[in-house]
Amino acid sequence: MILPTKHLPTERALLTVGAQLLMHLQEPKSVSRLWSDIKHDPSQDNSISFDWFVLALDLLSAMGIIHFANERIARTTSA
Amino acid sequence: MIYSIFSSLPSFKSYAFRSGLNIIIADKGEASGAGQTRNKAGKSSIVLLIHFALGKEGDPSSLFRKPELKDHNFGIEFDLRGVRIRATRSGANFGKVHLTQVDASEAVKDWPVDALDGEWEATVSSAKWESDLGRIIFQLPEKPEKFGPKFGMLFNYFARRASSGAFLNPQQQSSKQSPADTRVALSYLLGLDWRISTEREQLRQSAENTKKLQKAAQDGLLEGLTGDPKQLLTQSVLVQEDVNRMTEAVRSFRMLPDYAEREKEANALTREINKLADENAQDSLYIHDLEVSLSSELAPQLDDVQRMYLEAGVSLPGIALQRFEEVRKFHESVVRNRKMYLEEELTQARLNVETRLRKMTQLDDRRTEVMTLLKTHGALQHYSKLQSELSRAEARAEQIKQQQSILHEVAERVAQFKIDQQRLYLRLQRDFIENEQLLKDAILAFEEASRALYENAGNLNIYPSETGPNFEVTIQGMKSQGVNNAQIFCFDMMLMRMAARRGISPGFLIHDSSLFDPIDERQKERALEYGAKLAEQIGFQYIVTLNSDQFPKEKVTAFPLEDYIIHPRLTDEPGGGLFGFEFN
Repeated sequence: MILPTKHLPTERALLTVGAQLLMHLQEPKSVSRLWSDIKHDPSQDNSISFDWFVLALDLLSAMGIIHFANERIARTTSA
Repeated sequence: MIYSIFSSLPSFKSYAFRSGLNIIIADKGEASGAGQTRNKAGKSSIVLLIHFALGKEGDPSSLFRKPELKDHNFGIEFDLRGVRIRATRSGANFGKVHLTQVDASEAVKDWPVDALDGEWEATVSSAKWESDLGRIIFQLPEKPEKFGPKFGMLFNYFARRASSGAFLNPQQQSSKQSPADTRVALSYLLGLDWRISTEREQLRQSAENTKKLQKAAQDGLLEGLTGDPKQLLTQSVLVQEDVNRMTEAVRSFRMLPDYAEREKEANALTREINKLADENAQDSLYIHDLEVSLSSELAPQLDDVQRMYLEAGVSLPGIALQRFEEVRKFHESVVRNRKMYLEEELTQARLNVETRLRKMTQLDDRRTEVMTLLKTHGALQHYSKLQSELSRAEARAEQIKQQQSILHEVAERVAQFKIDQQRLYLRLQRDFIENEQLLKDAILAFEEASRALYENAGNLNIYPSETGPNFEVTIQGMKSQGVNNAQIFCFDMMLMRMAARRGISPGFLIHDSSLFDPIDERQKERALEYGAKLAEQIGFQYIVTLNSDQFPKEKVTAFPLEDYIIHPRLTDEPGGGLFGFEFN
């Protein structure tokens, strides 16, 4: 589910989605704001579901790239 | 009376005439075949020569303008109201007639106009000569009236020309003579009120013009319309209604200066509305998705997170992962507000749809406004078109109005024509009543001549009709060329008598052999005898040309016709004709 497979296209792989999310995280954003930005980014496939979006965030969190603070998701600066 | 005919042509056979009957004989040469006519002898040319000397026969086809004759003078010496006059004329100079007073008669002073302008000799135009002859011989007015009597018209009865078809009807001196011309001429010679006939002719011509006018007016009408003024009135009313309607349309026309821009705006609005509708359709699908997500209470399972975490450890070996506990906490804090996020999203989508719908309503309102404007207003070109249609309708209304007035005028004129015609008819009837004695004399004169020829005397009927005086000749029970020509003889004798009595005859009557050819020998003899006696009785000269074989042989009377033959005799042999040589 993280890497593309025979049954999972590249644009749906969590790593790909995560990378896209990171591009939208130049500044800390609320979950809803980030979700909204992703949905409305014309350069990306925004047909992902909210749940898949959350899993991608979870992956980024597991990798220590983002963290949740003050109701905002932010990049972890040390990473 | 004619004293002589002569020519400068040496071979021409001159004639000297006596008073009373003169018979010129044309012999049939021994060499001539049975079928040969004596046209070459020149009997008819004598009649033409007299016309020529009196100003007629000057047209290009005239005998005297032929190359063989045109350089020679031809002339007559005759008594013109008491004065002995020589009139000579040549085809080469056919516009002029040379006149000479031969005697010293003072009677020239009694002429209404001096044709010689006070001289003994004069060269005058043939037209003036003709006009002067009309005044001197026939006492015609100085200024000829329209359709009124003229010299030629009257004189032709006294020297009928076979070439003009003068021997077809007693009443006509030419086959081309119009009925009106005939009525005027005969009325004048007899002494009836000829102005009734000229006025009648003027009336007829004006009626012809009215008919032409009527036709023109009707031709100008629109197809399917007759000249019926009733229909025209309807048409006029309908067209006027058109004019009124269009005038109102032009008056109330509201012009939109930027009509084209408004049209563009309406189109742009439509496009915008369609775009918004498309976007709303997409959002509706999204809203549906969101609603489905919301109704399924399943948040992403922690199992999935765990699975993801495990896979991360495998898939991303070089990466130091956070502890799962940390990830789980993160996950829960994100998912905690999942429903709220979804609802927010849903609300936003619905709001977008609402906003668009409002926008669409606004745009639609504007579009309706613009469309209404476009409907109730017009562009400049619409206005111009309307105005030009109005102009057309006005022109048509005017045209119909004019035709209406023309047709009304025509109707009035036709009515007036009928009134005038009746008025003239009454005047004619009165004229006939007033001139009863004159008419009786004419009828008796004809009957006397007729009785001289036939046992059953013929009749001359003169009666008024709506078209004018009618002169009709009947001889009971017989219809042949001979009888017809005998009628002409009787008619001419009657005319001679009536004209002489009024003092308006030329003093001579010439009958070409064409008149006598078809008449029976016995009647011919009686006719010549009657002519001779009447000429003597009332004092005129009667010149006759005859073919020798037509000269009566088996005499039925004791009258010495031979004594009246004058010389030379004409023949159809070479050199024997009037001109003394052959030509075509």
